[in-house]
Amino acid sequence: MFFKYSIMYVADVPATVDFYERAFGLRRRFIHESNLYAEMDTGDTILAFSGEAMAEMSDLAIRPNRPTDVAAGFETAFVTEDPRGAYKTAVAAGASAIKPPTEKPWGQVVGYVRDLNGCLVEICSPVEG
Amino acid sequence: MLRFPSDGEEVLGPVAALVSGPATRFHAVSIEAGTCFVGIRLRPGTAKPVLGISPGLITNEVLKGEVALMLVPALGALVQKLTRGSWTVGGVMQQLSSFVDDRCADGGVNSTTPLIDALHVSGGRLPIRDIAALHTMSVRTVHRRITEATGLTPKELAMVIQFHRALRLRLRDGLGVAATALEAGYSDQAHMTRVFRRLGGVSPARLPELALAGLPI
Repeated sequence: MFFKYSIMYVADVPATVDFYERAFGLRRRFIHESNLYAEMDTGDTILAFSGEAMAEMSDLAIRPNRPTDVAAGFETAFVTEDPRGAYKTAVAAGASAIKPPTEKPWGQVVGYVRDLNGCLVEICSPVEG
Repeated sequence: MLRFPSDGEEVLGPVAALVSGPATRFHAVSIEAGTCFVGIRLRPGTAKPVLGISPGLITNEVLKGEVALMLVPALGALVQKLTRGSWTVGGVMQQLSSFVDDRCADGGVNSTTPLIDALHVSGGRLPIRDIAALHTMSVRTVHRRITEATGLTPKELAMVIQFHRALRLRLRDGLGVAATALEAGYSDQAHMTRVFRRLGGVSPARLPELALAGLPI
């Protein structure tokens, strides 16, 4: 078994794809014509978005992610050589600023925003060494 | 819902209309051989434009024949058309489908839809105060809107949604009784059993083989 997908259930799949492109510079791989599923071009491990209706169709029950709610207990992390610039871009694109990038004792620069659905996103520099 | 005598292919007698309101309990129906039913189940919150009445007026009611036509006069023309002509079962299904489509042109989507969707997505497990907070509304507003749109209070609707999901977990996914109770969010197995008896007239441990006759839940 290997880790292939991380799938977020979201209220609006196309809007989320659009947001991740603008805020984090990702590119879409495809959006299904139903607008209920999309994959981003993230390499071997795929970040995907699924419409909330898909959860019910699969007999799942979830707590919907909303910016008005406390964030769910997981995060997505993007690595960049310029976390401070990326943070600004994300916030300018509509991400909620949570914690501007600061340097950790181990030298990594780490910041946090919440995406349009209220999910935590970390923007960080590569871990040195 | 339309009921008529049939051999499974053709309509062989008068077509009667039935309108089943939102329900918090089951209705036992006795069926004679050679009776055919064609129906459309309306997603909670979409009944008002289709029926032309507030669903709360017919909560836990099943209207039959003349009573159904009196309350939903638009059904009269459809029933007359189907009774006069010669129809196949598939034809009746199509007619009923376009009747609903015509009266629900916007798909029934409105500002209350996200509130009802949040209950569906969470399998009926999100408390009303959380739904209110998620949509920056007061608990009172959420209560009023859901009750007006569905004919059930949010608590009743959540109970039905949770029951349907538990049924699917048992029937479609083959989950055991204890695992179903846990995943569906019942406090314990006894709690789930009480709800199954009240809403479905069945026991979760011994679901009849023909429960819902293979209908999608």
